[in-house]
Amino acid sequence: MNAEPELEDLSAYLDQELTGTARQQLEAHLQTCETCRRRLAALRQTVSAVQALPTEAPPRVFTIPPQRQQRTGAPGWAWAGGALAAACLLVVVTTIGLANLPHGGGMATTNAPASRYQGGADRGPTMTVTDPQDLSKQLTISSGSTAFSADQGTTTGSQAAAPLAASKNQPLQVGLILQGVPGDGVPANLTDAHVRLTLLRDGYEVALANPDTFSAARENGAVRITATFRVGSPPLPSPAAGNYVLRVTWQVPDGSGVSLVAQVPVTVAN
Amino acid sequence: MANSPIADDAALVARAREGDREAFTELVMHYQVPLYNMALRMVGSRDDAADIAQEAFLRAWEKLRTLKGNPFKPWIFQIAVNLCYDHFRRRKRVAAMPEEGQEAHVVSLGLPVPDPAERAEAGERARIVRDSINGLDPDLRTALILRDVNGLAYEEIAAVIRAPLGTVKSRIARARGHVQERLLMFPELFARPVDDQEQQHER
Repeated sequence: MNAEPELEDLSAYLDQELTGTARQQLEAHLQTCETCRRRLAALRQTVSAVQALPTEAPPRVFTIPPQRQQRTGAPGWAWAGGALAAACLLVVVTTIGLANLPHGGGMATTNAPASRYQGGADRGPTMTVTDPQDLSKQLTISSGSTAFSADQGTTTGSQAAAPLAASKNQPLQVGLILQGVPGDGVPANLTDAHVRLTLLRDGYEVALANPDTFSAARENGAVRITATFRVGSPPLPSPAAGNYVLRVTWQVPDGSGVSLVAQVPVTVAN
Repeated sequence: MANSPIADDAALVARAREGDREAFTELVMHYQVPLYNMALRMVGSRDDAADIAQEAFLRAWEKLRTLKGNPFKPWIFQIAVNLCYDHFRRRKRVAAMPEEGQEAHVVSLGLPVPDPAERAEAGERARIVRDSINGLDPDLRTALILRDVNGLAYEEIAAVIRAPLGTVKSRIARARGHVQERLLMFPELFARPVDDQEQQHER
């Protein structure tokens, strides 16, 4: 019964995709055949080598521009069908929030090309969104300078440091620019600034509510905020390390009810 | 790994089909890293991989109503894989363009590698593995990447590439066999294991 197993079977066995009798027969064979144990070990090593390739964070945030509509069922038609004025309004507001419009309002795949990640680690990715109804309102988020040497704990697979990684001993820096805030007040904290910061991953959303440091200043009609967070402190899903999206939601304090949302990728390293 | 991603996907898809962009953004958030890394390992260039991922999400958004009740995950991977093949055709050759030596925003959950020499060696190992993958026929490359980079189950891969399970199994095995041959040409970096005894499956 113990014919030499095919490469296919060894491979499927490693993936737990061999079941039932086939699996039992293979296991029985492995008990007695050193050659096949070696074949399996070599295959396992190969798989490990491929799996060890580093996962890279995307160099930009992927977005859907508001002018791109769903097909089939004709978008305009669904709305023009009437009666859905309230729903329309909702869609518009959502669009404002999530369109991630770049300054010109064209393709919205802003904003941090790969090159921004390279070289110095002084700048993280940045994204700016503009309220299409009121171009004076603008929200910018950047993940700031979190130069993170590979020596401190990320394996990179290459010699690159991971400039945007935050680790438990390396605070996450967040920079915000709120353009078009009425008055001349300076917010004392995030709530005061009508800003909500969250880290998202895999459906989890963790609020970043209590920064370790917070500073705000007025400059040319904009409020600039810098906040740092110890990544160890919010209850990140386990394992904490991984790719997140750092999202800021700003409820523009002008009574319009508009919220702007911008987001940048952030990496939490071990 | 979190709570039932498929159920979550289905709920998000249902909302997105009604035009809820925020729901779709959640799907983008969920799949952007795996999709981008799939494309990166397929085409080798970060810019091209990002373009492919972006286009895949755009197409998915636009065609979401054609998805019916099918699962989102294999569908979005299928769109992106097709875009990779389009990319190959445009390039008129099936070869990836690895961006060697360029720094990237690399994420890793691996163990720290404190020693520069070890780091260089890890970089060299990664380069060889990438080259080995790039040397594969695109069908084999797709199967290997979906399995060993993205961790998709065989059934999911079958749905992505629209092939029977047997084909999936065979392509993955053949791809691994080819990669293994290449790696064994560098015994100083990929030592030949003695036996599988101690690391053996469930003993």
